[in-house]
Amino acid sequence: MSNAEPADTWVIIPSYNDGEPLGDVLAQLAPFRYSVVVVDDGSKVPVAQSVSRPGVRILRHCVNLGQGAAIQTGIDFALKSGAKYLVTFDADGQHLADEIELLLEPLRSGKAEVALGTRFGGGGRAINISRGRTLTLKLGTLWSRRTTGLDITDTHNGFRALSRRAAGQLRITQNRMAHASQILEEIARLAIPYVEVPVTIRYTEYSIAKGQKLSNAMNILWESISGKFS
Amino acid sequence: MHLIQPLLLVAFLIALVVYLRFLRSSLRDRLLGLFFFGIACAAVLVPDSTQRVADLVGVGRGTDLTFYLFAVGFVFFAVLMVSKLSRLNRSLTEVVRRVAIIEAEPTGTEHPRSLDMDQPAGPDRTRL
Repeated sequence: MSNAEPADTWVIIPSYNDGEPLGDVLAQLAPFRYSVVVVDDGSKVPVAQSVSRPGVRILRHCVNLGQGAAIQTGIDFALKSGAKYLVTFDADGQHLADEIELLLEPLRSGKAEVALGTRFGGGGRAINISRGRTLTLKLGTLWSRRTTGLDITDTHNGFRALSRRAAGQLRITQNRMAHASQILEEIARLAIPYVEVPVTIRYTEYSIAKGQKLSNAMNILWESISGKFS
Repeated sequence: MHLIQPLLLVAFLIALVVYLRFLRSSLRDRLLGLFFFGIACAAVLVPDSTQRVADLVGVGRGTDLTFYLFAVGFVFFAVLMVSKLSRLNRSLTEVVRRVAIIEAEPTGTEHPRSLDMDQPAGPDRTRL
């Protein structure tokens, strides 16, 4: 980045024990003029400053808290740094950097405060997705639609963009994976204008091994419900 | 007096002393602890008392009543612990988050802002 002032679009990457793939993701983001903050969620081997590039900030949780907590830390940091738009982006290479603009467009044009990536709705793609995962996600989407009342075609998609206003309004208290449901619930509760944007999710061997096991859906459901009472 | 009685009484007493001496808590909680200690001692010293209360509330044996009360108490205790744990977890999250953000500050001298978003940056706050 040639400019000393950080760009007003912040890409937030929560990371836990991602080595090389994170480096690839940062390389993928390098040509774009975004500020990037990696939140290292207590990885066993700290995300080295060596993977860092100009414009990339690395924050570290000294203990592992979970992806939801890491995203909220990234949001806090980006807001303090003057972010106008905030994008959540996975560290495992599932998302495409050149699709960030697609998510930002409705925010810039004032059409919405939140843009949610969808891998199933109108033109969205999920490359290499297994049948089991598709089924689980579809069931999860039905559940999210029911519980939030949002008109959505996908759920637990980590690729989303928020305006400064929206990011400041919602607060993630679900430290672990149920944060994705909580974000949707918050959008519904606060009546934040949202749109879905078709995106590509690219499942790689790494992201499948690292990512959510399908059996974890029940845990997420449980966290999501029990979190409401604590 | 049977051998079990002094054993139980001593155990209760130790628990009470540990609670009152080392675990700081509100006066209300201390009184509650004292109250339960009294009931436990009474039940040990006058074994028939639990039977009488059991008859009163329609439970067959005093032992069963004690067991039921213990189960209820245990569930209550577990719920209390879970809620304390979740509160603790929230505090931990907040602390870890702040440390992460503070640690990231020094190189980000272009934005020397205060830690609390709702407080204006003071001249001495940036050097935490």
